Amino acid sequence: MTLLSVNNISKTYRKTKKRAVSDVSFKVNAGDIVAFLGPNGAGKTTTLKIILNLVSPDKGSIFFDGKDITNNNLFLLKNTGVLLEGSKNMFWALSPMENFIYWGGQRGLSKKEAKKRGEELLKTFGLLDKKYTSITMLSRGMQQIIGICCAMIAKPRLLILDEPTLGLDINATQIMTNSLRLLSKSGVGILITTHQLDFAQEVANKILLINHGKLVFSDSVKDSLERLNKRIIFEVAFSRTLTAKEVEKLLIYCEELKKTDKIYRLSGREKTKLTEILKMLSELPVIKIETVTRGLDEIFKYYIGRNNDD
Amino acid sequence: MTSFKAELWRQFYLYKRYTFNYISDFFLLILMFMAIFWGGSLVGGGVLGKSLNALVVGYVLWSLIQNTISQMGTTVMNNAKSGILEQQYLMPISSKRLFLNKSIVNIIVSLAQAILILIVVMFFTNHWIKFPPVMIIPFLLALVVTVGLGYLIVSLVLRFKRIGSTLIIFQYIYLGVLLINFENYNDITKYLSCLLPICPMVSWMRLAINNKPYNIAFYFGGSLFNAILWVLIGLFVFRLTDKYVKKNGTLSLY
Ligand SMILES: Nc1ncnc2c1ncn2[C@@H]1O[C@H](COP(=O)(O)OP(=O)(O)OP(=O)(O)O)[C@@H](O)[C@H]1O
Ligand SMILES: [Mg+2]
Repeated sequence: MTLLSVNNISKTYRKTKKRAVSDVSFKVNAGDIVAFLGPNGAGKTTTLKIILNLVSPDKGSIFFDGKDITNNNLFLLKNTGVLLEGSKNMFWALSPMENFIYWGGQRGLSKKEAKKRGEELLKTFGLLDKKYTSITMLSRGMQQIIGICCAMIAKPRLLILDEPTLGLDINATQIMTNSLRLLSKSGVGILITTHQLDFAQEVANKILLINHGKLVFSDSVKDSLERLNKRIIFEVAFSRTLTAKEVEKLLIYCEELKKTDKIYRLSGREKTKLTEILKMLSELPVIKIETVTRGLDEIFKYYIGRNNDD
Repeated sequence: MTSFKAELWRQFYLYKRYTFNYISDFFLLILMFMAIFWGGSLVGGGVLGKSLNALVVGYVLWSLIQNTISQMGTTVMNNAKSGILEQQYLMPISSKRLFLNKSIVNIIVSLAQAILILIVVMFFTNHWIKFPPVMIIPFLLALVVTVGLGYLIVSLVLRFKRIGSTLIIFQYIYLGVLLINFENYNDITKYLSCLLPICPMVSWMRLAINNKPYNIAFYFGGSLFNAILWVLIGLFVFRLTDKYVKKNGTLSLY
């Protein structure tokens, strides 16, 4: 079921005359975790703000659950939890619990409901003992987690998180990953921006890649990784520089992807058997060999690198 | 309704956290009122007239309006700075409603504080101020205007971001306007004064508290008109500002 559908939105900021978002379209289904990736200034935050009607688009439309909400988005807001860049969505003088009561109340939760839900969330993230400490006294990562809890307080159907892993340690990131998965299993659609590609790869089932305001890649994570790793890739280190003849032989069976001094990154040519490659290698002065799995970072480099050149 | 309650709770939590701060503010205000009570007969003028009663009611009204508006301005300014404003815009209530809630909470809190202070001061000085009950009407209508002015201030903040001292200067200029006794001028001036925020209400209260004869229909009509006019102006300007801010993406000031 399509939860959010973004259709051909564009935005040029008047002040900078810069085309921040250009004809972007995508969908988020219930249960999706969509990673929205791109370099600094690519237009991620602007796109999210257009979805949330904090910034008005020059063109395009937004649908939530089948309804056009481009001009009146209370329906979307009712069902959406949001954390924008940084943990700036809380009253710093108040405690987590007091924040939950405030933000829950704004979303129609009674004080009792907000408290109950807040305790559940704090327990999930292991911060139950901090419920009455004012936010200023918490560490950077804890503040970030409380910010995420605030976004989840009213059980949203859509969760929009702008760089939620900023400042989180490995442990907290893992908890985050797990909770997002749990939420997606229960049918919540999640749209998330991050610069941590490994986190995106682990948690997301779809990726969107944006560069200079344009969507340059959009696919399911599983498919694109499978496609990327269809051919075996390995890195071989040799004890000495290879002679021209040896290199020639090497390249009959393998394709050279990258070479630094005595280290070659190779992939087997199509229809070449692994045994043939191994036999050929056994005649060369190999000192180390390891296989390489390619991740999202390769896709990222490919699309962003190429687009930055033109 | 829960969104309004949440706003009230938040105010309460802040009071709780900064109890000491608020208590010292409170004592300062009490001292000030004591000074007004004891020295009141020495000070001439005042927004509502020369009598002590007029002075006190005038001061309460003035501080209420001034408190609400400047608090509105500074909170919104701080919230825009910290990014909280953006988050509040993401709540499923309209931004119009959001600021209405804030205005009303500000008014309630300031009013409760003023009444509490008055009771304490009257108890200690044993001087119980009296005023004609009809004054409640212009008083309430003046508070309605405050809501409209609140929208104007919020618009200014959203549009220009830093307006700190302009606000204070403007407040004192306006205090001067409120001190003008429009009720003693000719009809045209009187009618025109109904356009200025809170002016007909203040004239009405001044006449009532000083036991002067006056045309109640004129002042009621004028005050009602004034209240509606300024709420509409506030809402209109706010709407324009809201559009402008969304067009430029300048809701927050990082
Ligand atoms: N309010 C604004 N007025 C003018 N230009 C803006 C405004 N906000 C953003 N921009 C510009 O729009 C472009 C896209 O910015 P945006 O914040 O959407 O990028 P981003 O992908 O979120 O980057 P980051 O990864 O650094 O957060 C940038 O060039 C930025 O300078
Ligand atoms: Mg951003």
